[in-house]
Amino acid sequence: MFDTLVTGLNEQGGGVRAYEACARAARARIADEPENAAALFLISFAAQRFVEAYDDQPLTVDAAGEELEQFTAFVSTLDAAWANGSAEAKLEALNTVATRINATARS
Amino acid sequence: MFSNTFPDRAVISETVAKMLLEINAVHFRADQPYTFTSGLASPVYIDCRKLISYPRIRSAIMDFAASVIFRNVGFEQFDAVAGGETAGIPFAAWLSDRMGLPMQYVRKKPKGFGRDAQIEGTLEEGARVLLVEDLTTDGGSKIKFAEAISKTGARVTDTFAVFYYDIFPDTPQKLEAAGMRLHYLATWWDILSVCKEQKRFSAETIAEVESFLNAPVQWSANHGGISELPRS
Repeated sequence: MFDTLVTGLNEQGGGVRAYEACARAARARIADEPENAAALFLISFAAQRFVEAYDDQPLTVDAAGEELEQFTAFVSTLDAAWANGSAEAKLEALNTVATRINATARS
Repeated sequence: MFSNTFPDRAVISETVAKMLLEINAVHFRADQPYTFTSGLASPVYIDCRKLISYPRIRSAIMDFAASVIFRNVGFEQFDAVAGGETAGIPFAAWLSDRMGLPMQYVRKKPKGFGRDAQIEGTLEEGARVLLVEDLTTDGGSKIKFAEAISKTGARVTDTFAVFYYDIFPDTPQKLEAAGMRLHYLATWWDILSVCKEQKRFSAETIAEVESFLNAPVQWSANHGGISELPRS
């Protein structure tokens, strides 16, 4: 379902450009998958947040690893709920991921 | 305006390397490497944006830039100087002033709202543009900025960066294929040379940096980064 986005991210090196491509890919799927739009939008937002944070800032290999772990967890949470299929599970996953993304944002 | 002196190219590179070291814009860290935008692990990081806070240094650098561009390209070959968001903007402002040319800046992507502008400032159709950024790694961002400029009917013929990594041999060719000649003042090799001469950093650190500069992809693979460059 959504894990292909993480696969693509890894295949493209897990750097800023890979996250940029991931955000673009997630946004591109929204038109074809309106039933998954909220999840794809959140994934796109999380990937774009990484781009905004590190595009012209130093990023250590360790920090990149932690970011990737966190991003993978967001996607896994959504994937698990979508596999379960219930509307309640999906809503709960969306709220959980949105809360975690918000908690990582340094505003 | 430009001071109309043309220092020797090697002197420019050495002086700029010394300036960057003097203001601590150069960082070497092999034990906790950095990740480039491509995913490449690297023991080196440079922050050319620091230059904006040093008026004497930035002024000399802009004189060097004008001399390199006028000498390499000519005095009447440009109609405008465009800065790439974000770090390219101040350097484009100073350089356009030195060269007596109009300035624009280019966003990384269109604003997405209102008039959806990607380029700010007036740019005439057919204008020959010098694109300015603080540094060049693999040239990817310059190609994107040049594409945005070409949509206006203007053309980026040359691009200037204060610093060029000079670790990917095909970068100048990639830029040439996109219609741009690359100009710069200093590279990692100039920094390395000054570091050795001034005995800055430990011998181990310098050896690690040299190992990276000679084989960046292999060094990356051995330090948690990508083992092949993504296809662009």
